[in-house]
Amino acid sequence: MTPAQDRQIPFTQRIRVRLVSAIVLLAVCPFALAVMALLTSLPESVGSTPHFMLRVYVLGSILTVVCIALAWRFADKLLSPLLKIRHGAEIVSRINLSHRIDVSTGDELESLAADFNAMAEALEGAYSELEDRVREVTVSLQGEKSRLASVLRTMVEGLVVLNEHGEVLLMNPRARAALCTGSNPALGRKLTQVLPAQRVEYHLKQLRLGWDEGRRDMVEPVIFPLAGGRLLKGVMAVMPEHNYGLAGFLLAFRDLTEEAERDKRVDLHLRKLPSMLRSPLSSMHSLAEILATRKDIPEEKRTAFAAALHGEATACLKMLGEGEEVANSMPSAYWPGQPADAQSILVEALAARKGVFAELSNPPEHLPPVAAEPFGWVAAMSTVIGWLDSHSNGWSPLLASIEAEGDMVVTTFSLNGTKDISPDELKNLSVEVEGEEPISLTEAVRRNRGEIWTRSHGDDFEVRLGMVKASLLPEEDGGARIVDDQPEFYDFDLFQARPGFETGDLLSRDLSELEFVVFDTETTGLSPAKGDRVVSLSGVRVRRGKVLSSGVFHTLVDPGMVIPPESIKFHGVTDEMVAGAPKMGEAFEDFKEYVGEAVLVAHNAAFDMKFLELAARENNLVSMDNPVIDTLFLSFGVHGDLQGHSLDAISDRLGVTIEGRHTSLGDARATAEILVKLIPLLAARGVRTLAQAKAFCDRMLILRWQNSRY
Amino acid sequence: MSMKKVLVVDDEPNILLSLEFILEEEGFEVKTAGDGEEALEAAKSFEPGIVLLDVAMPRRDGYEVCRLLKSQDAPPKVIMLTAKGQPLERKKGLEVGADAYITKPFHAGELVAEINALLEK
Repeated sequence: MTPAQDRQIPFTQRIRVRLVSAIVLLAVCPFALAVMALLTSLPESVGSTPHFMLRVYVLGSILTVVCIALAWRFADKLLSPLLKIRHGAEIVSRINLSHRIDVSTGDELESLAADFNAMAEALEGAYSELEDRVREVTVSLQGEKSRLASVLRTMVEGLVVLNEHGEVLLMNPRARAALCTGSNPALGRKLTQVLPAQRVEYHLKQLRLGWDEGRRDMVEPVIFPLAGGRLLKGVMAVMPEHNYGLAGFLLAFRDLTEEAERDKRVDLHLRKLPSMLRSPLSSMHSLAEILATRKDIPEEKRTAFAAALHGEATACLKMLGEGEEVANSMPSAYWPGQPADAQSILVEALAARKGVFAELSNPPEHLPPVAAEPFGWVAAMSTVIGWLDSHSNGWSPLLASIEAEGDMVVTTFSLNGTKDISPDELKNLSVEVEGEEPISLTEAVRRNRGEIWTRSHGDDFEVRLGMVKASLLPEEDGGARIVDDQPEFYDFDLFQARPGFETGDLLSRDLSELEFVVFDTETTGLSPAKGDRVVSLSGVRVRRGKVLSSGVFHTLVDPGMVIPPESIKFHGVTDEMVAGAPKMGEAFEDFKEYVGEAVLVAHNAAFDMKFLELAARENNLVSMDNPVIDTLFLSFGVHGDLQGHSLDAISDRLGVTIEGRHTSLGDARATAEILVKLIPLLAARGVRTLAQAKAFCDRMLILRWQNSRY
Repeated sequence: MSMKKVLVVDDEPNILLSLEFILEEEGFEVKTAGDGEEALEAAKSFEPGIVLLDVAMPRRDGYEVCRLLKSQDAPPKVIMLTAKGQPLERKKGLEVGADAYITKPFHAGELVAEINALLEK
């Protein structure tokens, strides 16, 4: 018998037995005394007749039985509110301070409950005051946290924080974009499972050695070549704890894939160039030398030499062309462009030249965005505007307009009635920006992939600036692709080692140290045997007694059948929503990968497990044999069947709010919160390890099943 | 084997064209070959005193041709035509038995002087 039972069952029984015995004794003793007194006072002939004695016995027995029955009922009446008070006290003391005991017996028990409620009230008041203080501090901490989060989010580098075992605790969006693929969340896994393992091990070893030698600020340069020719380059460092222990490691990296590719091409070409050019140039050198130094060359030879010279020169020019092509394909020769609005650039450029007499025509509708480094373009344009203005006759305005022409968006500056304007001057203009090296206008335009040219019609002189359409730019692997999401994974409290699941002593582990995946399914109906299937599947991770808000698993599932309207009413998942969603086989495999070695938890797990097993069977996949525990039975075991155990009832009791009830993710989240709150309650009943929890669930399953039959 | 016989080996026809002209002007008997294989054939029948050998060639490179030539009885003198600034190439050439180097591009006078110097040895 576990301590839990030892404490729960005898508590009521012992009191009951004592109460009943006391009442019976109190009632029967006076009767016995009365009989004794009667016997002594009666004449012997009457007192000792068997008939009389029989009557006394029968009366005595009836009295005893009636007493016991009355006492039993009295005890019941007394005990039921007592039990209520006890459960209430436990909930208040452990989980939910706003819980109140509802006992209306009209006697001292009711006032006891009322007193208790008053105490809880006072406690709650004190607690909420404390909470307010904590909230204030939390708000300021939150501020720091979100500042840190936005720093991390906007960092060009990918950043990964590892615990001392090399497991990923957090990563910024850039790192996630580089390292996470599909349903592989990377968070919580070892870095060796995410990046080339041997390299990771090597660098971690170097850092640990350095740490042991007392090098606290050691930085280890790292390179990680990945599949598909991708290349990450960066540094790893140790992170000390506040008490000077080793808290973990930091990896900061850049994705050099594109740069490396480019460098390789350029490098290859540069290396090839001398050897390619040497032969034709050597030939030309010799031929030219002969032609230049020998006067007496026969005509036929001379012609041959000249032709050869021409041939070699042509070959050289061809190679030069190839080199040019490589150089042009190098984006590094350009400033990094970004989609920009040509009209706003023009407006900015005009604003930068105050006092210029200019007229700006309206831009055409649907002007496509251009690829440019906006500041650079504004500077270049305002240089052009300033130059044109210096040639203005003073009374006709500078006309500026924009139109889309082919692959370009062209800005035209037109000036009427100018004299002595030289297009050559334009080329030599220099774009001057304070604090920057001046560059030529031509160079500024070239760096932005643009073109500049002039034309004149009669008295009109035009400068035209072409910008390339943004759609022509190769998509850059930059910040734009990064999803801006919650910084919830900056949970520094989790800076401690997670016990390894590999050790095989999973069952003897403490519940508060285990990793759980709490999951829920929404389905087309209640009967998988009759063809009902899953429409959505969600999982939430619980680690070290905490619900992780990041690394959530959620997917809609195409059930391959029409979703009945009554189910849609229940969970809101429609046929349109699941169109294009993965089939259950695929979702199951992803989910299995997500769960890994964690313990599965669900509310009424049997139902959800049935659908998972069905998915495995139907798709010929290996089913999941992770240990399973069920919050329904845990709650039932903790709070008995006096109270309800639906998700809503438990949430209400334990102070858990469900956001998105009847969505798989909302319910999984609520169940996870419930699990976390049940763990300390279970511990108070001696249920600490996974093995005990499973046995507890099993026992409660049988109890509940028995109860349900009466 | 006449010392005045020069075999010029290069895969660039225009180099052959100019070298042939320069050397003939200097009174050498010149034969040309466009690759390593051809060079070995020509060396057998022509029996040159000097071979001008380009390093980078299709079908047997200059080093291999040099090694094969030098393994014959009464081998010809070999001048390698190499790219500039390649110390490793020079070392490699030395080890296969080349007698001299000319770096491309070269002056006609330089080449002729080098040939004459070798012949006088």
